[in-house]
Amino acid sequence: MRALGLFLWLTLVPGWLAAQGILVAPHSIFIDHRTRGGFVELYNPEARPVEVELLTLYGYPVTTAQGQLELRVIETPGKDDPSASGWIQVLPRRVLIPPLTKQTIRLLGRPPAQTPDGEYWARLEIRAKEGQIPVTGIDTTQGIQMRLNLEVRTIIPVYYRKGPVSSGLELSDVRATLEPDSIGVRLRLRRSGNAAYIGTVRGSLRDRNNREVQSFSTPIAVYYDIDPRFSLSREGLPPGEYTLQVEVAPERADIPPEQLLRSPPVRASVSIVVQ
Amino acid sequence: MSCGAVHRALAGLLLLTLGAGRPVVAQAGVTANRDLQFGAVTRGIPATVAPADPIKSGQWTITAPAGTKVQLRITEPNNLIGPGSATMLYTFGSNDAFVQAPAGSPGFFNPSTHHNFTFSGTTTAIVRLGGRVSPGAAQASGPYANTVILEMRILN
Amino acid sequence: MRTWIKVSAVSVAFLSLAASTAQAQSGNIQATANVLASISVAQGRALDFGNVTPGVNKTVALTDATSGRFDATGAAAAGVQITFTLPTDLASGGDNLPIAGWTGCWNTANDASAGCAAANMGGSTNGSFSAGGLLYVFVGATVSPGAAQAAGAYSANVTMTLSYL
Repeated sequence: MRALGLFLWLTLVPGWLAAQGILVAPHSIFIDHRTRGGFVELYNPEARPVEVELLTLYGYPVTTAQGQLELRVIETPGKDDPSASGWIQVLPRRVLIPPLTKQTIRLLGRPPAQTPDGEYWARLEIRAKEGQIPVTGIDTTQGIQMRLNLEVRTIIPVYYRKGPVSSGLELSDVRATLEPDSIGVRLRLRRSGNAAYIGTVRGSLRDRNNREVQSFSTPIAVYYDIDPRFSLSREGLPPGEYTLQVEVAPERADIPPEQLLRSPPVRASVSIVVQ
Repeated sequence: MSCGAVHRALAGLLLLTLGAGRPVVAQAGVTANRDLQFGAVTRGIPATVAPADPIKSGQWTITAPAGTKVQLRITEPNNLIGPGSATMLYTFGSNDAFVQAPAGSPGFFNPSTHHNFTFSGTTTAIVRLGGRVSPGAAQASGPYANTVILEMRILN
Repeated sequence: MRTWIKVSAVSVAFLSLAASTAQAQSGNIQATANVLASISVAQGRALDFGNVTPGVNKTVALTDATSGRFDATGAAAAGVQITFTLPTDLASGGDNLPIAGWTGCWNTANDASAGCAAANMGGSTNGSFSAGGLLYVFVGATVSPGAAQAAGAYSANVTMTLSYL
């Protein structure tokens, strides 16, 4: 009877709610010191409220030895680090977003007096306590239920610009490696100026007739010198000589053009022999 | 009365009439005050602007002599045009426009239909416009725009 | 009389012109919007172990139809770093139900087999959105209920972090 009682109790418990995601827009925040203010909008597409917490931290992308980009987070920025995480205020820091509702989060920059002109960086971490992931597998006769509580964290860049800012890029050491099913492309990017370089890397693989046979186009942000890796498929590529043309330009389809700093595109090429 | 005198009298009458007509030409007008601004919108999430929104709604000022009956016609696009000729759906509901005289209440109307208005005791009124945009889940990011035309036709 | 008719005709013409100018006035405004690039992560599918028997381990592989899946949207071809913080036990009061052997992979297509790149479940993984701005992350694991696993509602926290690079 006790087991039956348990069974009945379990069947009366409402099913777990599927976890949905908070939508964050824009995915990069630019703040001008003249206004000191920025914003990000969070939208809750769920039919129930979602609790959101926001934090600032300092970090920037770097490349590993294998050319993979990863976010380096520095817990305690040094005095020479262009960190804005300590003086960008986020309002509100904690909010319960009702169902199907958009919440605007304001960012306010309060740099210390005598902060030199330049660009300062932060990352905004948005922690959304979603619903419960159903880990279904209910053995109702034994009264075992399982659930995983999901928290989704989204980390997006914040750029604070004070005074004149500029950015440029030097492209060098373009090299290609033949792999079993792909062509690995590495390049060295060295940034100049006092702001991060935000743009797009485009690669075009051309055959002897200058016909494009493969290409890639990837958004990139260069804070400090990096050596990223990109990949082209070798599938269907006949043996022969090819030229890989690489261009990096301060263009982005996902960032308003007025936020991008102008500088001339940089280009390089390398020959590849596919056997 | 000689023919010549009749000519001159009639001509004068016509000229007077013409002169009386000129104030209508000078006072009737449509002035664009403000664009309809949806502002920042997010992919996959429709955004609405009510015509009563004091900042985002589109607005014109219309003027005509007191007593003038006019017909208002709004020509709206079905889409806003964005980067690379991307289109974003733009729609409106039955109460997404209104016309209002300074001391009057807003008279709501469907922007897709013609709406008659009389300048009763006034020579000026505003026309406000709202609407809804529906960015797709994969909507290209960037600025979108299109032109909305308000035409005022004088009926009397 | 012909002169009178001429003058009249001209005057009528002027009147008509004046009337037609007064008949219609128009003004243009712009309808404007700015679509923001956005990023989101949602659960696409629950991690489903099906029937679990006390004392019998149960594994859900990535390629199983019951593996968990997260669906992310973002800027086309943008790179992201994916990091998980995963539990080793689900707890119900003082009772634990072990969960381990977490596996994961990411893909720009909704496919856990072809082209799904392994994810480092103990560290971070680099992924990227497709040309259409889509990214899928698949998750599997193994639960190990004890032979005398106590009844209860077992739960644990899972954190998935998506860092825009």
